[in-house]
Amino acid sequence: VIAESEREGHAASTWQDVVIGMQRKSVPLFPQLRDRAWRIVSDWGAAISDDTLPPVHDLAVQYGVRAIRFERLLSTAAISRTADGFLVHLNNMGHGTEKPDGTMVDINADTVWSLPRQMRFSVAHEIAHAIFCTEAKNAGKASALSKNLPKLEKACNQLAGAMLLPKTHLVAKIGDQLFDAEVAKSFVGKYRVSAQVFIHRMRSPDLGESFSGSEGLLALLSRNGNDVQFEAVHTRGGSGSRWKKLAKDFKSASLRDLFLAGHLTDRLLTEPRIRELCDVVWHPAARQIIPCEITTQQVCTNPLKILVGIRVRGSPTVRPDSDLFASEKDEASDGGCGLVGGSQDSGIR
Amino acid sequence: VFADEHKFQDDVWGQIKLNTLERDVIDTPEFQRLFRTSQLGFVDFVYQTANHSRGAHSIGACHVANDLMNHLAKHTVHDRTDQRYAPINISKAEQVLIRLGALLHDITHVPFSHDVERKTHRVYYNKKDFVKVQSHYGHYDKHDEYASNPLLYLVIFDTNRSILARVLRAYSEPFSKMLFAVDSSLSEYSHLKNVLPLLTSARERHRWDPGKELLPALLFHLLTYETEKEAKDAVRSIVTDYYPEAARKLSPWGLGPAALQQQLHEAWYQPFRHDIIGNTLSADLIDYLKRDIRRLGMEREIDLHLLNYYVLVNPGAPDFHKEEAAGKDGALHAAAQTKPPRYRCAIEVQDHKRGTSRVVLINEIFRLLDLRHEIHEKAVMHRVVQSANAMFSRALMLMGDERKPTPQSLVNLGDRLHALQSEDLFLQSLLTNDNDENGPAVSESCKEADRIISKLVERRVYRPLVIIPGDRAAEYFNFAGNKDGPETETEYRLRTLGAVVDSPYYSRFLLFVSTCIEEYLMGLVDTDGDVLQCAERLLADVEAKAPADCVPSRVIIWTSPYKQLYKDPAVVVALKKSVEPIDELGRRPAGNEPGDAALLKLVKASIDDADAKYAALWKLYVFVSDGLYYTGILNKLRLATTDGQAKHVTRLKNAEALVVAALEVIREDWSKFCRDQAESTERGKCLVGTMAPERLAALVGLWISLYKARETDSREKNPTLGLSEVDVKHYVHEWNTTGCPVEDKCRDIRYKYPISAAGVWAAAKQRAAGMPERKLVEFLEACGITDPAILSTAEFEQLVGQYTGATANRCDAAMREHDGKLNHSHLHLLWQSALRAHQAVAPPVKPVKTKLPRKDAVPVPAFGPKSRIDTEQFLLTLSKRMKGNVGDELQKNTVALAEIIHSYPPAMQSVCIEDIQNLVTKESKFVHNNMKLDEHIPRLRQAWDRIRDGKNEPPADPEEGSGEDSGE
Repeated sequence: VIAESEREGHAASTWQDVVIGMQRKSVPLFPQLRDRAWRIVSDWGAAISDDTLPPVHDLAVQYGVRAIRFERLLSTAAISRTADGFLVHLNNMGHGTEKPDGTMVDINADTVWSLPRQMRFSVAHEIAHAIFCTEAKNAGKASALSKNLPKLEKACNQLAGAMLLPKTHLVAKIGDQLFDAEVAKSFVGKYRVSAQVFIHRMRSPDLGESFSGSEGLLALLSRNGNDVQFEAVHTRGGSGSRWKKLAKDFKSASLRDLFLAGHLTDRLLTEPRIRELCDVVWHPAARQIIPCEITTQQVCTNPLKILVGIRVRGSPTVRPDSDLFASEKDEASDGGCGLVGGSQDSGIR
Repeated sequence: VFADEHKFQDDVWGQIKLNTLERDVIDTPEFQRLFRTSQLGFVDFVYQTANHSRGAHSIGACHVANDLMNHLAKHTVHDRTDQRYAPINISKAEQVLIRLGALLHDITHVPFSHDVERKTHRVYYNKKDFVKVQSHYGHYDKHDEYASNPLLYLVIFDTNRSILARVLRAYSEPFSKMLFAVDSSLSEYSHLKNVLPLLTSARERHRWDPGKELLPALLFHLLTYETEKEAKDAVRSIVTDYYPEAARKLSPWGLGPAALQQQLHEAWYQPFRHDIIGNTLSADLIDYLKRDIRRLGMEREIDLHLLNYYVLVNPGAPDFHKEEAAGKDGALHAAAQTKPPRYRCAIEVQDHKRGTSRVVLINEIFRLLDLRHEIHEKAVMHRVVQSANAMFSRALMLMGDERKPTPQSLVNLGDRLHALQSEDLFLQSLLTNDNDENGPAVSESCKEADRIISKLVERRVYRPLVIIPGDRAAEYFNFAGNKDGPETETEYRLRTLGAVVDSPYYSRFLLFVSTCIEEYLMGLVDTDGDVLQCAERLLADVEAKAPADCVPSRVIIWTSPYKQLYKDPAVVVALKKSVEPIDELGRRPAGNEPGDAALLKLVKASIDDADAKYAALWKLYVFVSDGLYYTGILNKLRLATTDGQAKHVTRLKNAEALVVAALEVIREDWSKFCRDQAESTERGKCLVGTMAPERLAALVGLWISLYKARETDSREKNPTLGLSEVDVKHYVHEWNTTGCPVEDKCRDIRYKYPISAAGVWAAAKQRAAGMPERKLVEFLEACGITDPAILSTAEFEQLVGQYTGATANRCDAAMREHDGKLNHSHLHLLWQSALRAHQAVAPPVKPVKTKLPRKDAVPVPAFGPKSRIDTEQFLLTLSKRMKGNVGDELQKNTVALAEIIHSYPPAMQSVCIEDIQNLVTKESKFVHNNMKLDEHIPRLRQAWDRIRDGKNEPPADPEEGSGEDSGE
């Protein structure tokens, strides 16, 4: 049974899978520990006021995590036991922290918030490990963790997201603007997390019921040479749409899978920001079109990374003679200045 | 709306009146950006007032275009019987369009566009035919290359992003009304008689609304069809967006709806419209001649009285072809007549009334072109300007494709701050680009790029080590394999030399040579003999299939394509029997007309004169950082200062000789290639390809032997064989501990007036143990450097910056090894050295790309561009791909890991494994990471052994982890 669950854990390569995996039967003790850890983090999150950045260092100190050591490591970050608690180890090579080997710093508000985004996330992740260790030891169930390492990693990632972006803050400040890239970008900037963490956070189980009124998609695209990749996707609602599939297989998805009208797809990568109404091909076979509002924001220019938010504004309509399908044909026969997509009939070259 | 009622005050032309369309265009952010783009790039480093903007020039060009059209109207004779003259008038609508074209002819220029674009070299293989080779040191597509640069298309048509596009669309209505109002039944508008019916048909039958589309379409047509050769294709393939898919799939573009594009182009195209804007003696040329001369402070004035002979001609008129028509080919002539006449602008040299030639006009034209040459000689080709260009180009090269700004981000069309995309912002973006927090660590080469840009910001330019002017080069570098004609020999040779030096193929060799020179001048290698020895050893290693690809930042070999300024743009002249560009006139055999021979002789003499001047204008440069002209930090630290200057002059002279030897190698190699390969395409292919490591090794071998073949004595006396016009003694300067005397030659103001490092040195000693400052001081003191004043603060900080990563490890290792007792010979450890690195370990081999069995596995990044890998970097790569549980990752990727290790040089492989073992030992004590020392490392060694023995098949699937946790 253990080997079986381990194998499943290996296959769990996306966050989605983990969420599904959580519902599966597993070694019974681990889910209990995980629920306990979630409760600790959400209680802590609910108690802090929403006008300050979450004091992650308080939670750390509470669990005996008192210092960070920068050193050469194989991993990005790690945690070890000390006599009276834990020590976080951070890799000092090329992860944005060029500190001399062996530098130690105390964990406090200044040191935690002065770390680069990705390292701060790593620290939160390691704090989650500390929580698990402590709770497992208290419950006398230490082996439950070592037998569920892959799941533990995923759970720690989610908890780290929940620490850096507490639920109360998200609900209070985002409201119904969840699928607005501009709001997302400002949030990411204010809370100093990466856009990827923000999107993954949206998918955590504790937010399942929140934002239930919103329907749409939030994605982070990155450009690598001529290739465009999805780094993270979150969708809500949209039953029957193609987005479900996109959210599941986003690692192999292409821009086309957003099912936008052609000119928008082309503009996404070239314009710094877009905000306009658009139509999404909701279900191509059924010729369903749904009115949406699209917003995009470049979060980084080199390499190019873009946040795309698509908010559903109505219900799907069937449009047999929709412009979207007719547009390519029209342009081809019409020529003129509408170049995009109209090259195939012109017969030159 | 097309009345000239808005006044603009210009410093060259005085008051300029523009119409409302033009005013609105100037108000758009797309045009406002041009006011922040300088006309002459880095020329204001030398001529402080030459900082005029492209915006001012564009408005001036618009004014001159109007002037030129007035001249045409005034001087063109409307005599029906004389068909040499175009019997037409330029309609008001066309005037609006042409002025708009002149106003917007520079709209695609980006900051420093002439300095950063890929220039085209021509490599001739006989008198007429050549292959085009793009310059290796250019970084962006040419601003007017519409098959790869979408900017013009977007600015004119994309109403979402470009306000200018909206302006044009809005003015299309009044403009098309004005065009439709032209009465084309009148003979003066006969050139429009086919156009209007076609436009009507476009509106009525093809749903193409001229009221919205006409003005932008005609403008785009006007700006993209510059030459008659281009105009042969009615439909062109262009790129329409920055988006990579758009770049792969070119779109066809033609005037009007698809069905009518061919006909509309035929009916509309008239070369004279393009002539007025940018071809020939044009608005562009006249405005920039006058403006540049004024802003450069040259005491010259251009004389425009030849515009009194500026006329519209019909080159196809029978009068120009009497002999031909009467002779053999009547049919051809008849065919030409059925085609609509194409009119051109020309200077009328033939005086029809008196039946003579106005010889004075020929001289006048050459005087004008001479001015153009003068601007280039004094400003554009000034060594300081070229040095800045070279530095800028090198910085972009060091940043690599990933880091350097995309063409799109240079313009940021559609952005709120689009109009702010200036040169300064470009420079700043190169500096701040390094702060991307999610990106990879800033590489060494990016730091070097940063250093160059911050020098440029303060106008601290590199100094020339070698400058070889074209006239001297042409004599010495006679490439074989070209069928040189006696008259144009110089041009062929210089074009070839320029193309070859600037080609991707040979730059690999030249970059290697520059690296050697850099390290030699820095003092990392003591003598020229040592340099050659190191280079030889570096390349002789069989294991090293790809020798170090270094891009040095302090030594730059630089040149630009050879230019003939009278050919581009060519001034068109009308003679009695022909209309042709003036450079073609020079090649024509004299006819039997009286006076003809004298005229042609004059043209030929003038062209010969120009040729000689242009040959001297072309130059090959080697620039070195000012820091290499003084004795340098390392030499200073080693107390070489006592006889430093004399020694350093010898070094610089040897460096010059090394450059010349390298150029000789290229001459020999390229000549040999041309002798073997007569095929032109092969030559082009070779130059754009990459040089194989074996070739590189062969060339370096030849380089070494050529250098050694010269007597030391002759090298000392005349290092460049008289080719270079630089006297290194003029630039060399010394450093001493008491500071720099004001009369010292140093022009790098930060080096000349430094702060002594005593303060920072003392502060560094107070730092916590293990901080790089303190470690550096400890290292220096161990080496016997006790007087902090020997360094300046800037130099100390530079050394601190260097004291990281591999360098720090190297120094620490030396400290440990010698128990803190070092001497001056260890100081070089503070610098990364390609030549010396080889002495310690075998040079790296490019890692083989190995796919890990992970779905999202990232390919192993090549360790470029310096390829100075060590385990540090290896581990860095490794740790970046370790996502999630490290122990499991190690378990899963053992074989792949072993393959990567195997792709490293043998000497490094076991070091890598040991390093991994140490880390696993350490980390196995941590919590929850599943690291198992006794399991991972033996498996890794086993896999590595298997690969080394050639048994490449992977071992059986690893068993699932036993579930034991070392941490709990």
